[in-house]
Amino acid sequence: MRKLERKKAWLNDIPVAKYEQPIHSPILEIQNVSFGYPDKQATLNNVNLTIHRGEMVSIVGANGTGKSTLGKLICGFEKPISGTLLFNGKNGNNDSLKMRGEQVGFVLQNPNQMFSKHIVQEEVGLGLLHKEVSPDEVKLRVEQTLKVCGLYPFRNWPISALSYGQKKRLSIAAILVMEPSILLLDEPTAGQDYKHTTELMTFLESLQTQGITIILITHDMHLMTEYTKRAIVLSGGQIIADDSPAKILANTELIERANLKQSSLHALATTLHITDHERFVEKFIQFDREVRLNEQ
Amino acid sequence: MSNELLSFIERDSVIHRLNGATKLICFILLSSAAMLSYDTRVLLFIVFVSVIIFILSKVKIREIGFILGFILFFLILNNIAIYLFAPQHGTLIYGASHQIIEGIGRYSLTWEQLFYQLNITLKYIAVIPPALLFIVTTHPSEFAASLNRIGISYRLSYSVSIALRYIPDIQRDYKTIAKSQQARGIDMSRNEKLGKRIKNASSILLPLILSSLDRIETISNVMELRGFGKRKKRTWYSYRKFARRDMIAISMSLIIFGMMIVFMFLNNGRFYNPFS
Ligand SMILES: Nc1ncnc2c1ncn2[C@@H]1O[C@H](COP(=O)(O)OP(=O)(O)OP(=O)(O)O)[C@@H](O)[C@H]1O
Ligand SMILES: [Mg+2]
Repeated sequence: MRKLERKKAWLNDIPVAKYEQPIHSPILEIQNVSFGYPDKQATLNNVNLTIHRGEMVSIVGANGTGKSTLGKLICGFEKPISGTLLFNGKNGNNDSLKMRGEQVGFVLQNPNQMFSKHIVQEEVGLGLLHKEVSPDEVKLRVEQTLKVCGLYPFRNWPISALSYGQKKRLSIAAILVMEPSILLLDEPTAGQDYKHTTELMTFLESLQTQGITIILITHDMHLMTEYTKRAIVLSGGQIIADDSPAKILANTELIERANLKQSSLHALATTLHITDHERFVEKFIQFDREVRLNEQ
Repeated sequence: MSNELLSFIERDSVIHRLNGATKLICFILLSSAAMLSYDTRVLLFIVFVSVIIFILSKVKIREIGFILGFILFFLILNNIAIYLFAPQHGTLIYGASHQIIEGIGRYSLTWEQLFYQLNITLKYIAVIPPALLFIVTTHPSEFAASLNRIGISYRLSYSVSIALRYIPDIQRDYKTIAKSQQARGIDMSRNEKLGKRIKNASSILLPLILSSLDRIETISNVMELRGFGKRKKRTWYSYRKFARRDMIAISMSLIIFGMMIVFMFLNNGRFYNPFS
């Protein structure tokens, strides 16, 4: 029992950072949007969602519930059958892909669906060449982005020679370099090792502080809890929850319904007989971050 | 969004219910009849049969519209080329020359040439529906089973069906890549000049085809690991027994093929000559 007391004391000692609510100005409003692929029943059913400027939001849910489909609608790859998407309050239903692409950067789930060039560097620079950016600046921005994504040493490699994890990071780099105001990433950390995951996520956090809105589609419950303050749960083409990750993971019925998996931290809390999972997880993450910061 | 080109279209029709092997045999018989014969009467009859088959299949023109347009384009191109390179070929064949319009040098338009090119066009029209229908009404797996059924080695049959199976995949990938490129500012819509568009499109298509070819090797390794090709024979999951309608369909195709042969003897050759 003494051990347990000590653990609790330790837990109480960890300070929890105050979370500041972002200024509530909606950047993206999805209103009554429904969508279905041809010859199939509806994939998305009357989805309503508002995303605010500077938010980092995660979208979670079982395989095949329509997360990527929602992403495709947001970035204009598919058009809704009914409903509207508002960008900065303006109806974007009739935007061309190119116009939408200037606002939303979409990193597809499958990196192979994003490349058309042969060499890593060329692929990253491709989007910039079609904008009015001076060649010097293109070079600079490409190099910076490659460094951020840990691909700088591979800049002259053929894309086909990259590993899956590297290709995934290349697809992120190709979008990051465009500096869109909304960044939509479909499973950015799938197939990434721990080091690259934290590097990437830390970078995304720094983007967020610069006011960029970030939407993450993920299956990683820990990622969701650690990096996002708000999570959207999709199930059967509908939003069934929109809450803080900790609250969502504490709701066993919801977890069951959306095929989510409790993160191991929650399991650990249960084993330690800690009832306040939410606070435990929060504190663990805080501690983990401090340790990581001290290491650097 | 349009359907994928040249992929299986699921529907319940007499044609869909036919055995894959039956469809293959009928297709070979009908198309070789149309290929061999230049007899307008035979061709017209095959066109007539083709149209009926098409209606029976319940496939809509819209669903194969793009590919039809593509073929039509080649048909016109072919006709123009024939006229440019052999404007008097009809006269040569039919041994007569009835001029309609006088032209420069050999480019005088004759009824014989017109008739000859009409027959070429009829050939196309006779062959297109069975060929397209065969592809869109036969499930790739069943197609493999039927190829194997008519004596082709199952390894080869399977390769062909995998190739067919990948057509829609590649098309879908192509569309997604094109969209992700457009979102990055590479214009591929009608606003862009045609030359640029073709260049942009090919810059996607080429790597895509190459990576698909790469995938073939991976897949064949994986299949080998799973024991594919170890035995001389295999069973087919989507194998169908021959039914009475299969016998009827094959008999009818045989009759048409036989008719074509009979007309060949009657004409003393492949051409029907109304001019002599
Ligand atoms: N191009 C397409 N054509 C037809 N149906 C599709 C297409 N893409 C997806 N679907 C279907 O739409 C549904 C939702 O797919 P989606 O890719 O959005 O799921 P997801 O939530 O992203 O799943 P995952 O977690 O596996 O990535 C699935 O049932 C899928 O079969
Ligand atoms: Mg997905």
